[in-house]
Amino acid sequence: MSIERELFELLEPPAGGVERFFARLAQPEVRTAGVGLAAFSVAALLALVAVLVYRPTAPPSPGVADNSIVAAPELDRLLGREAAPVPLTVKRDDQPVQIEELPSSDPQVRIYRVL
Amino acid sequence: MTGVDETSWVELYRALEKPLYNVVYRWLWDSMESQDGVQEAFLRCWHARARIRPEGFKAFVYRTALNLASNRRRARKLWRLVSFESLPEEPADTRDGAPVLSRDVQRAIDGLPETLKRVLLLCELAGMSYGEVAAIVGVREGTVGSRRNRGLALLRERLQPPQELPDVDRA
Repeated sequence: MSIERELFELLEPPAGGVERFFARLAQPEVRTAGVGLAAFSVAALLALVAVLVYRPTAPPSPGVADNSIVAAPELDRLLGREAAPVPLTVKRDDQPVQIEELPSSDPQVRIYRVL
Repeated sequence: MTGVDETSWVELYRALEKPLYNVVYRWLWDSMESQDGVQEAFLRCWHARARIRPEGFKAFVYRTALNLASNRRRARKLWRLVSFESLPEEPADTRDGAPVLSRDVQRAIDGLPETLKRVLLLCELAGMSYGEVAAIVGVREGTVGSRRNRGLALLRERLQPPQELPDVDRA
């Protein structure tokens, strides 16, 4: 057989193809595409809900956080340095009023004076 | 194609199985997988029969089969790549111990660009007119003709026996 004839030679398909096809045709139709699409939609919806529910709140701006940490008296204690005086206030008639701490002979007692 | 019963559908299959099988076989080079591909294309058409017009059925089933064959071949190549199989080329399909088509023919057809291969196989194996092929591959009839000729020329070039070199000692 010449190679050019072999190129386009019509081959016989394997026997029993029609019977196999008829059997496959008789099988109940499985809507795999529909099931897949539905599953994908549900998954996408769940992911969207999860994102909305667990969305982190806006973090404080780095500048504010840094200042509050640096100014905290706890940081002074941790670093073993003298604590910077922190202005103290109390509320009187719903208005903030500044106070100052007075020296006390008893370490269990603290005395404040309203300025 | 609404109103077509399963028996008529099997008759359609019987009429188109052989040419379609031969086209798909030149993609997959495996008889059982090619037949399975043809059946899968028919089944997809059966499920989509409400959307297919009778005059467009042949083009639809051929287009589906070609796409399936092309995808399966790509998937097979990808699988061979990810599984690190070191086979240099796919094993030849055999029938009664002999290759169904020679390795040279397989190599020559495989080496064609897909656009030329589709047109050439549809013309030569499915016996389709340029108009029918144009409807399947989505190009103009003139393009079908030129692609067919280019494909044939490439195949002839690749299957040409090696020319003997002149014996310089004798000269």
